[in-house]
Amino acid sequence: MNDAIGTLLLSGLNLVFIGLIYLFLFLVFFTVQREVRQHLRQQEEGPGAEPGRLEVIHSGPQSRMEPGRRFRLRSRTNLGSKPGNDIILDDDFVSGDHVQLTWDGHRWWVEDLGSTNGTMLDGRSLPPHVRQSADPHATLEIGDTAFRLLS
Amino acid sequence: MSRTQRFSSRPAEAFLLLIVAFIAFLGFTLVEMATLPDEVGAAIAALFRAWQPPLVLSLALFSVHLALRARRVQGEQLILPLTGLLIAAGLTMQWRLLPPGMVWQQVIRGLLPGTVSLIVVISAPRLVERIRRNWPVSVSLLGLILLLATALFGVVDQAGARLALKVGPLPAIQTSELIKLALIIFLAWYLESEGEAAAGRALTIGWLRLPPLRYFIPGLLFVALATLALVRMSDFGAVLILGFLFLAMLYAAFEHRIFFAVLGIGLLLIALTGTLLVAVDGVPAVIQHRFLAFLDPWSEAPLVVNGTPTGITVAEGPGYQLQQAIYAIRDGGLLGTGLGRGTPQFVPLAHSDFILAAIAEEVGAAGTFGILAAFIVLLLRIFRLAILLPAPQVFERLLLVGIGVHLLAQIFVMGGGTVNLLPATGVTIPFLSQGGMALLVNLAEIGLVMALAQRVEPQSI
Repeated sequence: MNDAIGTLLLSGLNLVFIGLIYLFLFLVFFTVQREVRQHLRQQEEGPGAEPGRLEVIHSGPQSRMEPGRRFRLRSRTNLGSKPGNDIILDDDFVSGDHVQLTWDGHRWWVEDLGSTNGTMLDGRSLPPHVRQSADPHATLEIGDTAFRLLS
Repeated sequence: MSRTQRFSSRPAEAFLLLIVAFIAFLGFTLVEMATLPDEVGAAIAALFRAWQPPLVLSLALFSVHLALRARRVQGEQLILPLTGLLIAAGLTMQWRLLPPGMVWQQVIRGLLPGTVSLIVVISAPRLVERIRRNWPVSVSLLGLILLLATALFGVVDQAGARLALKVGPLPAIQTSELIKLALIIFLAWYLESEGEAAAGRALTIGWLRLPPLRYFIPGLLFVALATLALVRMSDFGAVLILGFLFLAMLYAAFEHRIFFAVLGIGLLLIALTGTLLVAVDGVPAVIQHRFLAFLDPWSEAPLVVNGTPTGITVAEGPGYQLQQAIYAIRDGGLLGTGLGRGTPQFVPLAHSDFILAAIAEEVGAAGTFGILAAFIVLLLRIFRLAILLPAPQVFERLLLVGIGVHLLAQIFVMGGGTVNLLPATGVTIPFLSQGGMALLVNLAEIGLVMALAQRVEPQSI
């Protein structure tokens, strides 16, 4: 074999060796990234084995929720625009503490916490500070977003 | 991913292991090609010989992968491939620097028993629980007895350190590695059992919280005894690592204010012991030499041992290794000279302590940074598991922290020593350096990590 070609080949293969180490690292970072994304999605939905979920079915211009997004519900879940709520709605038509969902073991209860623009349960406006029971697949309109209850 | 599957699928791990196997084969081939005989038959025979160790490595890694799948372990698919990559890089470099017999010795004494222990620990997830409940005292005492036995009756190696114990006709056992694992287990158990009681009765003095000392006296005594024994073994690297471990595990176990109080007491004791030792024995010659070499590897000052000149300069004595390491790193440049085509054999101990210099020469800064990045990600994965473990598992969490810090301290101390940012200490680089016992212990540690990974809620990837 020609010496020059042999040397060139060896140098090339050595670069491949180093390149493979970096390919390996790239794939490691790719896996970590996927894991982080999955984790964030899970966190958004909360921990597992919860009594129900809330799915975005429609969103208006003020809402920043894309339809199809789902949130896991705890047995007591608060919605509002203030931080500290379980589900935070960044929407000008949503009050700081807007509405509370409660699971009593059998059914969901919805209570409007005295919000400025009110809450609609299955198309009817809820009176403030009164708990109303919700059907298993009730729709809930808060501000510019419509949710469906999945329990 | 359905739960009824008989085998969990670990696709990321399998694919990464495949790349590791490819890297190992390519590395061994490149080393062999640099010195290939001209005759075709001999060349093919040489290549076949060179492909055997990577084949064994790949089989070992994939058998661990299958064991994990058979246990239906989900999640944590990165630790095994990262470990595999490091071992592959280490074996390649050893094949480059050592006669084949020594590499096979590393495989037979380190890799294979290490793989077996990894599989055993993974298949016995109760093992950690059992160590915690039944054996913490026995494991710690065994470690201490081994340590004292080595300090008193150990075999003195060429560097003047006693790191191995030789019993009868058996090959010498590198006990200093086993001792570190025993110490990690001891500290994890001790800090779990005594730590909470101590924290509960802590006395608040200003900002600090001072726990009653009686909770810490046995632990401090144990650590002091271990330190003394290690000093007697002239294993100053191990003393440094023990210090790192103690600090990190205390930090992990306590809130800040208690940590600082205990740290202060610990540092005071260390300073006291150190002063006492120096007053009795003077600063040991090994340390003096290493420090002189660290200050200036090219120093022309005459080397003095115990007041008598040795007739050589620092540059000719302890400085030589550092000079060669620095030359090797410089020769490597960005992309290296190519595997098998540099001259890393001029660095003394290039196959063990100074393996990073050899790697830097032949695969360059690019390759070395890649390998260091793999180390960093491996450590991050171990610490991540420690964070994700359910809250009440204090022993397990401390065990993970200890294992991570053990690896971290060794890389930090020796990596710093190689590039002359720290005084060089005789510490091996985990997974890379030659040393069967070290590889076996490090693989067993990875086994413990993977056993604990099974307790973390699966993050299906």
